[in-house]
Formats: sequence, C-alpha cells, structure tokens
Amino acid sequence: MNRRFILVTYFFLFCLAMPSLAAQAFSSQELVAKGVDDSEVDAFSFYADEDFRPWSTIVETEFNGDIDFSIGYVSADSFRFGQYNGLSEEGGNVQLSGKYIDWDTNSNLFDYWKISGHDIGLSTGSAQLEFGALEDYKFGFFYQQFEQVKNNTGATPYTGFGDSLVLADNWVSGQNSGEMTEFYNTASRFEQSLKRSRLNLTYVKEFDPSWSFNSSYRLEEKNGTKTQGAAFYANANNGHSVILPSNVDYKTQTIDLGFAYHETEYNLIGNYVFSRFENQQKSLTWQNPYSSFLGSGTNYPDAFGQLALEPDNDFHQFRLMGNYIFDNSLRLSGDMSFAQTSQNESYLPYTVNTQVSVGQLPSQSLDGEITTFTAKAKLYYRFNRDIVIQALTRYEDRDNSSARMGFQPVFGDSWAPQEDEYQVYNRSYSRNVFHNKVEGSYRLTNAHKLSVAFAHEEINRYNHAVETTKENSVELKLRSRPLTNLTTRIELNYKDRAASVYNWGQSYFSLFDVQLINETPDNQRFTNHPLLSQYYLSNRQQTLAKFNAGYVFSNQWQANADIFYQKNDYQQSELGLTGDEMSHLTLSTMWLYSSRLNMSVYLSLDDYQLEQTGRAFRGGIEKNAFEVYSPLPQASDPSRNWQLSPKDISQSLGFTGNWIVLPKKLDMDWDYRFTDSSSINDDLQSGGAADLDNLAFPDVISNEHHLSLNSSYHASDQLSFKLNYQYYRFKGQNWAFDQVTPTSIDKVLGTGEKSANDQIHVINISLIYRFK
Amino acid sequence: MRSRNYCLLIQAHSQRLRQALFILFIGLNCSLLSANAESSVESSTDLGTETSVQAKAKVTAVQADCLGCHKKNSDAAIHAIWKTVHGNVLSKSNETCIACHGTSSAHGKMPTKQSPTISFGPKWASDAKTQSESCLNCHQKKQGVSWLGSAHHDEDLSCASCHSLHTRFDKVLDKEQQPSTCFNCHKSVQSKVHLQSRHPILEGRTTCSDCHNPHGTLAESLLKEPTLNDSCYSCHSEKRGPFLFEHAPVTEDCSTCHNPHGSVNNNLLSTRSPFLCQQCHSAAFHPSQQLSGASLPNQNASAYSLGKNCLNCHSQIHGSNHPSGSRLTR
Repeated sequence: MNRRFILVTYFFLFCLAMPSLAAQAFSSQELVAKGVDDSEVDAFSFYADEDFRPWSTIVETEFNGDIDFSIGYVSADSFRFGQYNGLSEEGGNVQLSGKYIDWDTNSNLFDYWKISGHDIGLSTGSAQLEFGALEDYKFGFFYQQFEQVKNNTGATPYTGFGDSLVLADNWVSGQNSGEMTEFYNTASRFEQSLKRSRLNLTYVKEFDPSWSFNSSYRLEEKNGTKTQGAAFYANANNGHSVILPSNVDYKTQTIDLGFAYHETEYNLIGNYVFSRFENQQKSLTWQNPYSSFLGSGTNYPDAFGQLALEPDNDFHQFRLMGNYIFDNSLRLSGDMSFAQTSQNESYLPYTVNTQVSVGQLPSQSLDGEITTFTAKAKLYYRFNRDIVIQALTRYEDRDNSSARMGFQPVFGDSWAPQEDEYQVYNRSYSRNVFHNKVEGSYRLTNAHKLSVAFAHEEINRYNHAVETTKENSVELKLRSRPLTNLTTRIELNYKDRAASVYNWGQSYFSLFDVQLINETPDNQRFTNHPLLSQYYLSNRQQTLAKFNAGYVFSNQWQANADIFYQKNDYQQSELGLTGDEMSHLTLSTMWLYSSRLNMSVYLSLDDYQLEQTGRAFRGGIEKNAFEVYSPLPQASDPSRNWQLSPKDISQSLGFTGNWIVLPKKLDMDWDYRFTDSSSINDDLQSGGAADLDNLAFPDVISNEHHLSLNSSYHASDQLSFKLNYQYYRFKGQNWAFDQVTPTSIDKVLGTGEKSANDQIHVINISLIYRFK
Repeated sequence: MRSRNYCLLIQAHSQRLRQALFILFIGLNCSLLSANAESSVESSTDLGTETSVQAKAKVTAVQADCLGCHKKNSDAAIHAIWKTVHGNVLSKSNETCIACHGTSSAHGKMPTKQSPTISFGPKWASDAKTQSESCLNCHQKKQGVSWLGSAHHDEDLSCASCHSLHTRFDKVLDKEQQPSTCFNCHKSVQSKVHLQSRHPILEGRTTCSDCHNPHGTLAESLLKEPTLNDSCYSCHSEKRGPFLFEHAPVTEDCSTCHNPHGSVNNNLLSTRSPFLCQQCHSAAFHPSQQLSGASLPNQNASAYSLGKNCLNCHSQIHGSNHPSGSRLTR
C-alpha cells in the first residue's frame, strides 16, 4: 500500500476518532441527568488537579451552609452606635450566625428545608426555619427580636415603673423646678429602650395548579421605657410639666388567612386579616412634684395626675384582588378592601383628683368604630408594540362612626368648670378620596420612551375646616438611551390643588357647646387664627422634577447622577406653612479596577427649606381677628407677625470596596459612611411689634462617621477566619436638650438628657465554617 | 480498547482487507454518533411524570448542551443554582437551563458568537420583556400577578434587574442585603436611611419589602397594604385607635408629619417641633407665640421650645382616649 494512502488514512481516522471521544462526553448527559457530579467522566478532568475557580464560586457551588461564630468587644456604652444593632453596651459579646439549605433530602414529606440564624447571642437576633414540598406546601417559622436603644443619659426621681410613679419621701417640692433641690439626690439614670420580639408562623398549601391557601400567625410584643410629658394646669398659661419614664408593654396578634385561584385568563386572591392590639398598661399615674396651687388637691405631696395610654383595639380586614387578562394586550386589575377597627376600652375617670367636682361620664366607653373601604381598578391596554395606555381609579373611604358626646372639660387634674356650657365634644374625622389617572406611554424609538399622565384627585372631608380639595396633576416622563453607554430618565410633575372655603371656625364650633359659642363674640369664634390654612387642606401648587443619568465609561467604570427637586407653594395661606422646597443630589460611581479590586463611592446632598408665618396674639379682646381700626387687637395686627425659614441640610458620603489580596487566601473589604446634618433656624423676622425679636436659634448638628474593615483569611475552602474592626464617631448638638438640666425650665421638670457624643471601637473575630 | 484495534487494523498488510476494514470503520462511527444524539434526546425527555413546568420545557431534537460547556469548574458560579429551588424543580440537567434560557440551539453551535435564546446578561442581555416573560411562565400566579403595568415594569426593568438565580441565597431576599439592590436606583432613599432618625433598615431589622411590593400593587408607592396608614399600623398598631379625641392629620396620613425613610429630626419628623406644630396651629396664647433664640436656656428657658417643647404637655399627640383629653394632654 503506498505511503500517501496510509498518511491520509491516519489523518482521516484521527478526525473520525474525535467524535467518538466527544460522544463519550455527550453520553455523560445520562449521568448528569441523575446527578451533577460528572467529574468521573469529565473530559477536562485535568482541572481537578488544581481548582482555578474564584473562591466565591467555590463557596457558592460546593457548600450548602455556613456557621459564623464570633467573639467581639465594644469599647464603650452608646445609644447612637448601638441604636439597633445590639451593641449598645461596653464589653464582650458572643454571636452566632449561620444558614443552611438542603435540596437533597431523602424525606417523603418535604423536598427542601432551610434554616438560618442571625446575631444569636445579641439582643437583636433572629432565627428562621422553612421546609416544604414543591407545588405542594410550605411551612415557615420566623423569630426575631430587636432592641431600639434611645437616649440613656436622662435621670428621673420617680420610682415604681409601671402604672403609678411616685417620688422619694425626701423630695423637696417647689413652684418651679429650680426649687426642687433634692432632684439630684433622688434621681437615678434610666434607659430609654424598646424591645420588640416577633414570632411569625406561615403555612402555604397548593391544592393544584389553580388553587392555593395561605395562612400566617404573628405575635409581636413590645416592651421597654420611653419618656412622656405630663402636666398639671388650670389654663393654657400655667402648665406644670414633668417628663416621666413611661412603661411600654404592648402585645399584637395578627392572623392572616387567604386563598388564590389562578387560571390562564384570570386570577383572584382573597384574604382576611384579624389583628388584636393589647396594651397591658391602661394608664400612667404620677405624683405631682410641684407645690404650686392650681386648685384644690393639686400640689405635692397629695396630688396625683393620670393620663390614658393607647387603648386595646381590634382590626378586621377583608381584601379581594384580581386580574382579568382579555388577551396579550388588554388586562383589567382590581383591588378591594373593607376594614373595621374598633375599640371599647373603659374610660378612665375625668380626674383622679378627688377634690375636683365632676359629673357623670356620658358613657362607660367610646365603643368606637372606624370602617375603611378602598377600591382600586386599573386597565392596561397595549395598543401596539409602541403605545401603552393605562387608566387607574382609586377610591378610599374612612368613616369614623363613633358617637359624638359632651364631656366636662377637666383642666390638667386641677380644675373643672361646672356649667354645661363649658362642655367639650369629641370630633370624629371622616374622609373619602377619589383618584383617577390616565397614562399613555409611547416608545418613540427603541431607545426612547415617553410617558404622559394626567390625574385628578378629589378629597371630601367631614369635620375638617375644608370640606373638599380637588387636585389636577400632569406628569411627563422620558426614559432614553441617547448613547449606547448613557441612560437617562427625566420626570416632570405639576400639581394644582384647589380647596373649598376654609371654615376657620369649624374647629371651634365642633369642639364647644352651642351655649358657649353664642356667648362668644363673632370675631373670636375660632381656635386657630382665621388667616391660617392648614397646609394639607389648602390650595397648593407643586412642581416636581427628577433627573437620573447613568453612564458606563467602560467595563470597569460606571457613574450615576440623581437629582430631585420639589417645590410647594401654598399661595392662599397667609399664616402657617406658606411654602417649601426640597432638593436632592446624589453622585455615585463604581470602579472595577480588576477582577480582584472594586470600589464604589457616593455623595449625597439633601436640602429641605420651608417658609412659615405666625401671628402672636393672646385671648380675650386681643383675639378679635377682624378689626381694621386702630388700636388693632393683637389678632388683627400684622406687626405681630413673625416669620421663620427652617432649613434641614444633610451631606452623606459612602465609600465601599472589595479587594482580593491573595486569591483564595486573603481578602479585605471596607465600608465607610459619613453623614453630616444641620437643622438651621437662623432666619427669623418679625412684623415689628416690640415684644417680638429676631434672635436666631443655634444650629442643631449631627455628625457621624462609621468605618468598618473586614479581613478574611481562608485557611481552606471550608474554614475561614474573619477580623472585623469598626470605628464609630457621633457628635450631636441640640439646643433643645444640651445645656438644659432637669431644672433649667421653670415649669418643666426634665430628665436632663443630652445629645449623643459617641466614640466607639469594635473588634470582632469570627470563625466561619462551611459545610455541605 | 478501540485504539488497540485501530493499530491492529493499520498493521494489516492486505490492501483489500485494509480498505474493507476502513469502510467498515467509517460506518461504525456514523452509527455511534447517531446513537448518541438519539440517547441525548431520550435521556432529556425521560423525566418521569411531567409537571406543568416540564411540559413547557419540552425539548426538541435541536437544543444546546448547556452543561457540556458550563461545567461546575467554570469561573462563574453557574452550578450554584442546584442549591436553590430553581435548580430542583426539574431534573438537574439541561432542562433546568432551557426552562429559563430557551433551547438556545444557535448558542450551542456557536457559543462565543450566538447568544442563548433568552439571556439575562451581562453579555447579550435580552430585552426586559423577554427576560421577564421567561420568569412569568412560572411566577405569574404569585409575584408576577400585578407585574404588567407596574412602576418597575414601566421602567423597563426585568426580574433579573433585582434577582440573582445562580447563587445559593438571592441577595434581594435577604433583609440585610436587600436595600442595597433598591438603592441602585432609589438614591434619595439611600441618603435618608443614613440620617440620625430612621427605621432599622441598615441593620436588616426592617427592609424595603416590609412596606413595599416591588412586583406591583395598585396602592400608592407600591405599598403592600391598601393605604399608607395601614402600612404604618402593621407595626405600630397602638396608633390605630380609634381614639376618643382624634388628631386630624394623624387619621388622614402619617406622612403629613413623618418621613418614614429617615429624617434629620427626631421621631422621623419632617420638620422639628415646635415649628412643625405651628404650621397648623396658631391659637390664642402660647400656640401662636413667636419662638426665637430668646427662649434658650441662657435666656428665658422656655418650655415651648426646649426639651420636648409642645410635647412637654401635649404628649398624646396621636390621639387621646381620656375623657379629659380634648387638648391631647391626657
């Protein structure tokens, strides 16, 4: 045989042998169908000699769970750093976190189960268990507790936390707080904190592809201490207040039952929610620390005051949601709910001061009930590939049908007028909302989409100063990709709200008795000055603009700018809030330096400014707001106007990054956040009255730095050690609290709490074990 | 085994025998190739009882062999999906891949030049509608029931804009990590959650989806509950009332006074008190009084601006159930 034929044959056989070799790899599909571990037949098995995968991929694909055991130390007490993270106390701590998910169960009862825990060992831990069978059922258990730590720098002379607070036997009373010389000898520090624990059980059952049932039970308990102001007073000018430590002991149970029915053309979801709130403490009683005589039985040591805490309530809600899909281009969605909230807590007595003569209560309880009905519907119509039209209608109705009753007005457990003409009435607020919106969007090109919307909203209110407000709004949105690497989004919105006549006397007429009203001069029959329109009820023009742009410079670098501006003009209001402006800017960028190093930075600026005006006036003849001839009563005198322009400004900066120092051995990450905010009230103006001034307030400042550094050493694929260091610095200045001692304010016995000034170092060492 | 036979054949000296064996060899390989192609179809379709998902993922004779290239030892964590629900609805095979990515036969033939039928990026990302429809094939019933026409859908976002499936634990389903996904777009909220008065979002105790349903609802701002106040009452049920003496703006809209994402002022107030209160109240005597720097501790130390200011006395600001509480002091 000639040599050429042999060589061609060898070449041909080699080419034909390759499919055979490849066929061996393809035949591994059968093994793959049974399990994904195909390394025994892996044609690229030489990779197994060394694993070239990134460490993060190894973790994701090889392991089903991990446990993180951590020991840490916090350098100092804090209520800012430790506000929500369970690290508010100086000292050591032990934490356990972990998660595991198993899809390879051999059980006939469930296909999977997963368990996770977070921060177990701290006061802010959680645990979760879930298991189920696909397209059959799911059961979930979730428990969480977290603590909100508030200001812990205050002190109180009261003991007996709970329903009744009393002063020490050696308490020295006084007409002003400054005369209470034994405050510091009898006071003790107390912590304001609220602990919330939640238990949530869920069960979902799918009967078939169409029907499913879901249920959940949630139990939430909230315990702790907060501060509450309470005062003895006989009129608006002689309040004698004290800041009390108030016990919080709430329990809320919620049951949620629902069903869902799904077909190709339509679906329906219904559910029922029942929620019961119980307050284990119905009232707060305190011993009056003042010796001032405001009436019989009002001074220390025998005087006690009492206020009512939140009443128990029940909540029932039925809700039905659904969609009807006519075809690929037309769809109708609906959402309807009916809810009822009720409470029937027995009234406390008018006063616990037995020396104040009071009449009978009109009833034992409110037996109050609020029904809330909402109905929403949306029609979605895709006219063609480029045009979509949506129409939305929304109706909400809140009806408070609680009975209106007359009550004897007992002033601050001190004094009560006996005549019926002075009785006051409770006011039940109701309203309904009609909101309709039509939106059309048009895809101008593949890269540009324009949307235009028009909405009309009408709100009718009962027992408010304004009966009806109507608002029209126009919205324009443009989303575009003018360049391959540039995406932009622009939104412009204009709203114009018109209010019906502002009934400035409505509040007065609904609160007081007709006999008293008739005895009051016409020009004084108001609670709030007639020139004040409450801004959420009054005429308003709102302009809103949003802009967002994202640019991808390269595969490694992208940036984003986000701008928001909103202006409200309450042009018909002369007193109260007359206008505000809100603006926001965020610049952010992400840089992927390499596969081992990436960073992101953002800078945000927020500014909120408002304008408000008031007119300082007293009661009696000075309350006449309609006089035009001199001498003008105070309520009619524009020289008694004052103006204020509060500004809230904040800047925040964030810098995060990830660095794989040594692949599969050592990596680091960092997170630095800086927030600086100021509340500025330095622009005061007055109309010129002699007793008004323009003295500015100092700024209220807060300044926060938080740096977190992590370094992780991977001893093996299964075992890692992590070192975490955090530095936290917070400094606040608030003139409302700083330099205000418990006895600084004559008629307020305070707690002396101060703004936070935290400097915290935290170090944590973790052992992380991963397992299959 | 076969290699040795080939050598024996080559060494055969008879020309005719060599040519005959040569022809026989070619025929054997052809039949072997076709047998493998058939068996790959059979093994893929032999799934036992079909579910609705499997019916939708019925293979054709022409499909890509995804796992032939996307192996466990690849750099990207593709195979992490086997540890999630998506990797366990079907058999752990190409069917799982094509259920979302489509048959992708062109991609199988030219993997570096042709995209999969449905690609979620970063390379060759399909348009948002195509991506979402892939997910809605299964998730139409629950999460996707209100997706069409929702705010995120209108922004041309897809499910994969927020969700990651090739990972053991989808970041957006974790309370602590979810906000960072939302903050990719919602920058103004990102800055607010760092302000001094805030919900515990950064610590993962509450998260965006506790109040909002990003998949779409008919309520304002994608709220889960029918109204804003219902959302707040789900955690703050003590504010539900009804109270004997109501405070009107409280009954209407919590956001009249509060900014739920975060605020410079205590208790998430949009403006600090007493100025907030004076925006709506201008009554005779102290409510209408001008408050200025003259009320500071080193001057008149006024109860109306220091400490809790208005709430030094009017502590029952959300409403009072006391018969003497018409002024919200009891």
